[in-house]
Amino acid sequence: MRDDSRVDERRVLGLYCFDGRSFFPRVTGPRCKTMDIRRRNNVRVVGHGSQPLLFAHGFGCDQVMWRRIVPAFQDDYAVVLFDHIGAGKSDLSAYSTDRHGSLEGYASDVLDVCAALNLQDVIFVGHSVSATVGMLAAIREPARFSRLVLIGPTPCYLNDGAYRGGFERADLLGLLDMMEKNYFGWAGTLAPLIIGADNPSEDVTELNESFCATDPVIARQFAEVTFLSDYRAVVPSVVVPSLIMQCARDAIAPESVGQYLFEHLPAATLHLMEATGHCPHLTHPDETISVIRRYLAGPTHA
Amino acid sequence: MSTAAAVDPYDQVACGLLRCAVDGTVQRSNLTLRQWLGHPHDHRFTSLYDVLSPPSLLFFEMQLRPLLALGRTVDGGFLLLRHIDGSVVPVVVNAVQRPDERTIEFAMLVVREREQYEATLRKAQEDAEQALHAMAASAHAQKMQAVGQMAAGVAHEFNNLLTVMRGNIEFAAADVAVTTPGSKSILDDLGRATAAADRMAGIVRQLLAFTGQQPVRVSLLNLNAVVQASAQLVTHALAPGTVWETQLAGDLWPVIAASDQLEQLFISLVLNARDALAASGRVGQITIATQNVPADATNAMDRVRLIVSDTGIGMSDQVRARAIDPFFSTKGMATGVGLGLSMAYGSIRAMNGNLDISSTPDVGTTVTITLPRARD
Repeated sequence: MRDDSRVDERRVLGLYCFDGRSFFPRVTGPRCKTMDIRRRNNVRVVGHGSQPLLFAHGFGCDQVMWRRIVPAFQDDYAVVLFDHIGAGKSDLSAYSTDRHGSLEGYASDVLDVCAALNLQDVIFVGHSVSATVGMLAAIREPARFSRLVLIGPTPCYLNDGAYRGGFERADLLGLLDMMEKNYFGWAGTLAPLIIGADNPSEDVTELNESFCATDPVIARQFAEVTFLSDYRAVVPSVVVPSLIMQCARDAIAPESVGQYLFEHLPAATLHLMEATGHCPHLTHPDETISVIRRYLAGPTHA
Repeated sequence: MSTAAAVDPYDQVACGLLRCAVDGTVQRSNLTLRQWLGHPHDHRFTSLYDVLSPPSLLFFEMQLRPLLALGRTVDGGFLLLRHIDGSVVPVVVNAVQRPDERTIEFAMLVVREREQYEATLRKAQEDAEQALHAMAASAHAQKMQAVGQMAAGVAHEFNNLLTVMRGNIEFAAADVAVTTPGSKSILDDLGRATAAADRMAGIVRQLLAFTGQQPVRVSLLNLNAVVQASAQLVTHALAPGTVWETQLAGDLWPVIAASDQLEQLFISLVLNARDALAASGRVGQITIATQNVPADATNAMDRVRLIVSDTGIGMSDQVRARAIDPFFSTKGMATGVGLGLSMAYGSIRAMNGNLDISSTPDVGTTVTITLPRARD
């Protein structure tokens, strides 16, 4: 793996340090509190309902990934969408290697959004890594949340004894290498990897606004934070009722992980979906919508 | 007539082709791809799991699949395929999801050599960047040396002339006392001339300190003691409301340094911090910390740190890059001559230490002084 963190940090934050011999980049945390949170996380609120339905996108995309299921909830909820720092139209300068060096930092961002909009009785919908972010936020402010909807959640991607997270450490390090090769291209410069043509059958107006944009440097660090972390220990502390949406043949979050969460979350419902893959809200929006609707209409847990 | 089956061009093209359902079930692959991966001609892949290495499968599911599902094509993605012998085959991939058929089509090219070429390019780029860093550092050191030599020359000349001036002012004062007793105004004028000469001598001393040519009396000392000795003096100079916080390490290692220089340096850093707070227009905080820094992989020596940070106006990159240049000041000539930081740099370098400045405009500045731990 290439060690070019020096160059990358400089590009992101533009800070230098002089050590008496040479200049090198140094990363310091920005003052998040003084920023406008709405702008920082590119928060959008749509819908006519009163109860907030907060959608948190997963790794490698932005709030655009919710576009196929948001319309179904607009009439009944106040749908809140945002981009994690580093994704979409978030404020890249708000990225801090300290704060965002663990998922707790992303959970703080979510709580900032809740506080800035004064959201109460929040239904949190988190995909993949954001399911863990939601659990961390709900542990810190349980009264703020009414339910958690966890799509393809994984508290730990690594296999560890009897726990089957799905991946060996070498696989996850390989993923980081893969990202580096894809994001930084052949000669270490940014390569336009995924700038394909729009599919004419898609409604592209919204896509053109923002298309799963990810700052490659931050994405690389986000991946490290996401895939090498282990949050199994905090799972039993999530008192907010939660729905685990477990897809069939999910290469990222195997069924063993959904089962593990079901056994360790104090107030969980496990739903095994017919949808395959890791992004049912994109690939199987109808099933995803109906599963969420049914859960929200029913008792908090079976 | 030949009875051989017609050759399917799908199998014969020079790129690997594969079609799978959106759930990852492989529907079709071509012979070229199967041959690359060491499979028999009639092998049938069941799913993408059989084709992609685990990291590639992760990357595909995590990053590429959502894009395909949203109707974008993947152009020139990099993935590793599983060879039957356990090795990997690097390929560049184009992929598209057909919306009506709910299938994904892949076309792949092997890029084994290209990958080696890329590694060479990256190495060359890293080497070049390192060389640039080294050049910049060496250019800066040369500049400082040149300025130092010039400053030393000027300082010596000034010192000689100052000696002559002060001697003659003394003679003149003595003469005036004899020839025109009671002439207070002339004596006052001479007194002001003496004060100016004294001030000039102070600047010359600072210059000599910057050049490292002033004799230095060093001793074994503790940085906490330096902070404590000067703190009372400097805290009186702070604006009302300023938060003064010290985080001094309990068992700080000693250093060998000149205590008067370090005290003077500490005071000038704190006064800089005060000015930075004043310029920001806010009430802020000055934090003083001392730390032990044990030797590690990048630095074989145990070191001791003194950190002065403020929440003041901060510096732009341009200002910080010049912050330790002699006579560079943002405060205007009335306030300072721009020697504080350059003097600090000179004296710290003379003690084999380092001086770091990190700063963010409108957020604050942190100056870190690092000195080697004294050997007992």
